[in-house]
Amino acid sequence: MKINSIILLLGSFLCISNTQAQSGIAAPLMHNNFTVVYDISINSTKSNAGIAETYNGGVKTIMMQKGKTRIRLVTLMRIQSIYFYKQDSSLAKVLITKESGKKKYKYRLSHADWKQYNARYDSITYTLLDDSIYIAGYSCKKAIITIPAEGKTITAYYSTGLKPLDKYIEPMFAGLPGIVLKYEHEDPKGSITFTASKISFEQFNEKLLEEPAKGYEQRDYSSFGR
Amino acid sequence: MAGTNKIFKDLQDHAVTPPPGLYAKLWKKIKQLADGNRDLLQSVLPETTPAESTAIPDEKIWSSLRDYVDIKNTAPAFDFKKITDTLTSSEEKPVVPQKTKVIYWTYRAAAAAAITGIIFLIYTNTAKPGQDETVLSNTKKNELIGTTKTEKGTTAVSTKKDTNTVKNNHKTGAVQQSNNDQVTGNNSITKHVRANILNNDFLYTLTSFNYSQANYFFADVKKDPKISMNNYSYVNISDKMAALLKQQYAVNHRKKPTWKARRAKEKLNKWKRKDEKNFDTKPVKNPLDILDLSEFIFKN
Repeated sequence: MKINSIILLLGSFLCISNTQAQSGIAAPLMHNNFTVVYDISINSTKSNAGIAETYNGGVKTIMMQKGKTRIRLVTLMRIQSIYFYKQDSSLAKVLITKESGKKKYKYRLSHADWKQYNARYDSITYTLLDDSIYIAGYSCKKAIITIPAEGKTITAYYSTGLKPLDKYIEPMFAGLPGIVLKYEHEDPKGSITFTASKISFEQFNEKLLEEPAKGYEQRDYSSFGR
Repeated sequence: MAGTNKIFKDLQDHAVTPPPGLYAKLWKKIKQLADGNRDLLQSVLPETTPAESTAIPDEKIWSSLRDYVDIKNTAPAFDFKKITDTLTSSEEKPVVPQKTKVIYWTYRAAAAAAITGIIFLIYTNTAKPGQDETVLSNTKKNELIGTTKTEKGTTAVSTKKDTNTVKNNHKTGAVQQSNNDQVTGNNSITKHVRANILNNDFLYTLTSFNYSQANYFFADVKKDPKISMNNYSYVNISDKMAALLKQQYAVNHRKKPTWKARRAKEKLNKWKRKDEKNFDTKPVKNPLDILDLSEFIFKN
């Protein structure tokens, strides 16, 4: 009888663990080391290859470790990164770098500059819906993000099973209660979709988050305004 | 006879001054002929006897010839008015048949030129069967790219120059690899092709293969569209993009890039310039932002 009870308890525990993993609840909410890879898919109404094809099939990666974050875009056309460095739990510095081509450059932005850079998202509204799908093993809910000033909308799917990123990392998703694992924008001439294909909590080489030094032209951001 | 006057006028334009001594030689010849035909001389100088004729100086014969009139074969009466009328009428009337002829020849020449041009284009730009995937579009970088050995050891076309690539780039000051690349150093971009992504520029690298590398590359991409830069970075190449890149390697019978190949390359360069203009000149546009990216790619 005791053995049966133990087996039953063990079975129940395994069953619950599995369900939690499926829905993402069991995933670590502490993102000391976190990587998410998004595949970029572009559908164009053009029959021939247009400039969109140079971005189609590209990859966006968000890497986080020890208070440093990097978002990296790798496409046929260009490779570009944004680095975020925290100091005392607040954003201290943002770097925008272009890593491809003969003229590599970097812009250094302050927290205020970065806020201004993303000012278009200050007045956005979120409509949270009950629709849900699984993306990369995580249950996600649908949300419609509206940018009234531009009359544009973005459809996003977010997972509450993962701790939301710091709000400054992706200001577009700052009002959502989870990490966005899929988002898309439709244009009359086509659509772009970013879909998470890989999520990892493994530690990675810290050099990936270091500010690039050699071979980059330092440009002044303050002379520009968005 | 309407055109007679014109013919003489045209001939005047081609008049050539006779060489010196021609008249003297000519007269000598006439005299020799005249010696054998005394009647002719007498007809010119009727008052001379055959015996005297040999002693007549040349000047006298010349002056007599100037005034000579052939009584038997008289010229028609000189009708100045008739000639003037003829000339006037021929000048006023458009020479229609000639004009038609000119137009006709112009059209024929244009048609011939067009046909020749088309034939030339077809001849120079049509890829020979079986050669449409060949040769490089950019000769400079062959040395940078080589095919890699597979596990089975089936292909091993790796140039010695590959090993020196990074060193050479450092010499020229080019930043070959980003922080990420230095971490890994994995240069296999597809199953059979090994390449350094020069300046982290995929487009530049993918348009710089040589004949065999291009064939390996497109065969690999057909099976798996993933191109790796290193363990951390990769891109997938779409069918449309692969077709456009492949088009750049098409050559004609002279192993030169076809017109379509050149056009494809120009198209890519144009896109590159547009992209740089949009995202690099001012940091106000962000390719990582879905709205900025959408605005750019769907408007171009």
